[in-house]
Amino acid sequence: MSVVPLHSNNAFHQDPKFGRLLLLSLIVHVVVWAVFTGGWFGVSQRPKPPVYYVDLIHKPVLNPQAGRPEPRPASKPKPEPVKSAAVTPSAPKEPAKPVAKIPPKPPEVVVPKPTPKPEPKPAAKPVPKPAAEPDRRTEQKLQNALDEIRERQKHEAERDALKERLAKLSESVNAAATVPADVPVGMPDGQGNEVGVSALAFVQAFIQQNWVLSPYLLDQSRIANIEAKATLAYSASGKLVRFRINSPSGNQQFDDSLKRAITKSDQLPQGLPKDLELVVTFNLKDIAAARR
Amino acid sequence: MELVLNAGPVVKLVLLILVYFSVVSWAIIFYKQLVIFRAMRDSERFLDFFWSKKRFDAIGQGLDHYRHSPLTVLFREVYRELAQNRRQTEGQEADNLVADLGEQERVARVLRRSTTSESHRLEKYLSFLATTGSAAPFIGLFGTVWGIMDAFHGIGTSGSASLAVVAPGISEALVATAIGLVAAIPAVIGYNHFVNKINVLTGEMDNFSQEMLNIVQRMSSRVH
Repeated sequence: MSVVPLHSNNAFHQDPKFGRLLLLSLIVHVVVWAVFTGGWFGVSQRPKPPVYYVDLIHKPVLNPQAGRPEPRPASKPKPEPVKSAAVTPSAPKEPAKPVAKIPPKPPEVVVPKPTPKPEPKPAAKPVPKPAAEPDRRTEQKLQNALDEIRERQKHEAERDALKERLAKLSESVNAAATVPADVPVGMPDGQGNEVGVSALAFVQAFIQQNWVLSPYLLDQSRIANIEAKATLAYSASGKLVRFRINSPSGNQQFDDSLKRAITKSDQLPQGLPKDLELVVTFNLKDIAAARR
Repeated sequence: MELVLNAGPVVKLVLLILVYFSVVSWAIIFYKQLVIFRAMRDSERFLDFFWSKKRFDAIGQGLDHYRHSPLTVLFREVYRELAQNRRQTEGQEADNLVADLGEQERVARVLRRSTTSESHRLEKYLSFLATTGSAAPFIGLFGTVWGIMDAFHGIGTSGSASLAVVAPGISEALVATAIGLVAAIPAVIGYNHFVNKINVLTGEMDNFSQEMLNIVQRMSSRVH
């Protein structure tokens, strides 16, 4: 009987290498991850979230810039300079001006010329030829001088026209920089030139944020138009000094709720430009709409 | 992807642990699938081969073709035991392997030991699958609870309880539970599947052991 050589069981079985299978598993995980995050099954093909434009400066100011909350038409302000550039057709007219200006001047220059001419003529009768030559020379000189003057005047006119165009262009650029009313960068009711929100809107928004409205009141907003006006006095540090409900809404629950909200907003998160007394209107419909 | 990247450090750590569990679990599933598939295939073939031969020598020569079967190991160990015995009682015929009563005991012990070692070999790494199946959901849950705690803390800090503030934090936190389940479900399914297959193989080993003991006993009684 021949004895079969004996080995350990593991060597005998030749089990698969675990390291290789670990690598395989890792690859499978990476592939599955790529499949699910790569949008092959429509997982990541979600609609893109809407883009919101917000003012980064939320500082209460006295004279906020004008503007609208609509998205800014970025290309609109640019065409304006183009319009002014379109005025260039008027530029060709300007070169015509010097032409009009030139005629008055030459007569002034030419006028002294005829006076010397009559004098030599009587004396020149005996010797006409020598007198004619100097005349031609002086005429030539005068002509040259006249041409030079005309040339200079032409250059000056062109320079003036260019200066005029430059002034117009810089005017239109400055006009664009000062933000016309239809450019949406500030507050809807703004008329000033400061970057920020109006103190009134700032205080109103803060109080409305702190306002806890009951579901009953929110329901009421659909039925009735409930509105109250309050006078609020805030110090420059943003501290509520006093307040008064000028015209109550008539709805007791709403008025009480408003008082609680104002009391809760006794300290603004940011100071005001100065001590202010503001008359703020609180409309339930507007507040409810903002919360929906 | 964004959910994972935006999660807090604790949730990220939990996710990392769960990914580790998942990767290793799948590696074990592949490993076990190969080992058990080969073991079952070779066992079936080996039994056919075993019953087709009448001499242990002939069977011993062809063991290399069925090396993945646990039954092959049982036979090989018994064969080695009998061969050692033969060396001690030299001069006898090659096929007349004498087995006395003590020898039967030794063969029975060898079979029990081999069965145990083969069972252990087949069950290797299965405990990791069981651990993954039971612990991964809890680890994921821990990540979720921590993430929700963080989200609520954020709500407290921002002072707003709107859905826009609450939802992202909770959504990020729930990813941990989802990944925990993703790791645990295949592990549990794999564990149950492999335990069932190993039970079948263990039953085969027991049956084969009984057959081997019977054969050795018959040989012994024939000699006496």
